[in-house]
Amino acid sequence: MRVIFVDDEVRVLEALERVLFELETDWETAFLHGGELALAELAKKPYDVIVSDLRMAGMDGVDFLRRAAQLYPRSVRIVLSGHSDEEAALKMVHLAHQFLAKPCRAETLHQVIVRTQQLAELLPERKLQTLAGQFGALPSSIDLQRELLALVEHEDASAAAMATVIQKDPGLTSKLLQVASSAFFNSSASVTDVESAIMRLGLRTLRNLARRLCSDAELRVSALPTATAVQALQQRSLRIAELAASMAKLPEDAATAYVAGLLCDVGQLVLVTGAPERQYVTQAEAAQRGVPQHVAELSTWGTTHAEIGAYLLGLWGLPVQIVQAVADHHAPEREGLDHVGLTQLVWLASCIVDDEEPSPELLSQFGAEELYRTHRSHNEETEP
Amino acid sequence: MVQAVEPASELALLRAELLELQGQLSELQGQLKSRDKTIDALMRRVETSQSTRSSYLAMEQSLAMERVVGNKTAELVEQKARLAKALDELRLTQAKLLQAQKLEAIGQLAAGIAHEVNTPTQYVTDNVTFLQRAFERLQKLIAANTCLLEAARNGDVTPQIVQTVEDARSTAKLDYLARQVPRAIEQSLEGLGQITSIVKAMKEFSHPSGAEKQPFDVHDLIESTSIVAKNEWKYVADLAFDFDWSLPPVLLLRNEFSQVMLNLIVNAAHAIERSLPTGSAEKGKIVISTKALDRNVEIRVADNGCGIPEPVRARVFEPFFTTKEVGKGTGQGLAIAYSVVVDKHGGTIHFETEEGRGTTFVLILPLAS
Repeated sequence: MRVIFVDDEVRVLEALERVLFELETDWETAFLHGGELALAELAKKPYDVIVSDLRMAGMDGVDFLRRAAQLYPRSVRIVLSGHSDEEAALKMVHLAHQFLAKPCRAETLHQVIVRTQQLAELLPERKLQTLAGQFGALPSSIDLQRELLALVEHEDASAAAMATVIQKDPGLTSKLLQVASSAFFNSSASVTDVESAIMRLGLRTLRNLARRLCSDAELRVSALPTATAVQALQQRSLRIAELAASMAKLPEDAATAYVAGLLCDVGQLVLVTGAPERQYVTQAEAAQRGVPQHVAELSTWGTTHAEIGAYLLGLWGLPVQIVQAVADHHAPEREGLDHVGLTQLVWLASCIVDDEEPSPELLSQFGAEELYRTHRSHNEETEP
Repeated sequence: MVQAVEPASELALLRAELLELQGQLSELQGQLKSRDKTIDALMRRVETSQSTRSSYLAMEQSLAMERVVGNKTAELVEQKARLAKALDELRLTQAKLLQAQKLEAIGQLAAGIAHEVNTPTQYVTDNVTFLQRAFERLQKLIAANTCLLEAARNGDVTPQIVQTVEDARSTAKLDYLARQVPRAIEQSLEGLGQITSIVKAMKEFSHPSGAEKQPFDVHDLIESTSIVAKNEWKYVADLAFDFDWSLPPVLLLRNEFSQVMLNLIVNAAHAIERSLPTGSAEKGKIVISTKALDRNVEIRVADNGCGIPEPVRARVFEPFFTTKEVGKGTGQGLAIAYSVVVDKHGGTIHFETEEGRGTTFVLILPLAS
């Protein structure tokens, strides 16, 4: 793996080089003083990860990362900045996959980079890495964006009211969790549900973020039929989320199950907006062959929307358990559990919503027959 | 969720208060002027009637006059008291405004100061982590060497013991350590020095000074203000000092003076930023110079930025006048500089400017009051 570090302070680069030497990584590293030199280096050979400072003399970090994103979309972009300026960070929210705040422990930085390596193993196809990695944000429902924008501009809108809107939509929720999980806004443990994410950020940041999300063209897909597909995906994800939450035994698991359920199909959002024609063909094929969509995807892409979605959410630094659940929600046997965990909840919920019969062996392996049957019949009664 | 009161909104309130007080004051002054006129008119009438009428009539009329004047005087005294009170309030509000602008400036600087501290903290931490690990390896080497020494003393050096030392030596990567350890220590000390200097400058800048002028080394104050504002100028300009070291201490209100320097430095940086094409690697130049004059000190803050356009030159010292975009300027910086230099220190402030070439602000302060 190749990693490039960019900073306008030579001492930061030298110290990073020393500490990484001590961590004995097998990475090929380059340390470049400023954006121009870094672009020249990137032109020589591809790098898997770019770690860049934000405010730099000469070519600014924002300009540098924008250029890098255009020229080398596959490279994972990580900001390592000493700026505590929140607005500047929110500006970067679509340009960088992750934000780390200086001072950042070498172990943390190391861990983040190792994680991108693991994600690349999850989704080894480079073209798909590029496809997923270039999404600064995922498209979201236009109606919900409008609703959120109206709330944000309203003087006394509460955080709870905004949360209600945000957590109906995978695009908005994934972005909220990315920001709330980032060390830039939050120095402690991972955030696995919308309410804690909002508590972490605070009302002011939430407002700024919501404005940023709604003003962004990337999130606004107006071209049919993609817009219709996005809308349909949003509604289906919402059903999976609610079902997964209602199946959780403990209330504290329900909130995480909700988020994992809501986000389990973000890979489909990536495919349907990033490669619409091919995805429509795949969908038609699935219908024709009478197989679930993820099975048809496997023959088209060599992988499924589950891995693609998990790759992107992982790059964004979302909590590991959510990324895991998204990655395995069509292959829950990968985790080798003998009970129902987060992944199994999402798997069951998506089976029920997609009307896909889960294998009896797996149901029995997880001891989930009863849970499945109860919720399945319940869902059939309430299905619109 | 409780939101902290932002200095900006406090500033807006103070502005409104100040404007209102200024209004009241001029109204009171107007009233006083018209009273003066009435009294003048009465006096003239008394004088003319004294010359023309009989002394009895004149006496009676002047008694009446006295009553009128007496009443008027009482009113006047009352007006004067109100005026004095309004003036006091005005002074208080101006002081608050100065403080609020300073808080606002510090708020704007805070992000930059954090950056100036976070960056060295990053590399100092990395270097210390490196040194920690390097020392662990060295300790293992020392332990192996001690074994070898022990064996040598006893005269039973075995090939295994020698091999252990060889292994420890190669794991220790002595060549690498010899190159990197001194650099790591040196750069860590530099980083700590940088953190110390910014914290010291921040303390100097924000520490409230008394209401009395005291002798200060202006060079110290200029330097610490430049450090505090470093993140505002360092991306767009180089900053140089050209100090006259023969300059004696100057009687100053330290806080107010630093604030003026801050406002001028930030303005210079903004003027340069405007003149540079966006994303350019070019930098402008800010030069702060001092010169001892006969009984004064001259301080010049020169930039090679965009200059002040002709139409706005007459207005730059006006309160609330700004050409900066919203959020970047409050229009208070130069108004406050003027008030501090001229009203509080009995000095003068003016500027020399050429569009596209730059601006120099020139402060002249008396050495002693």
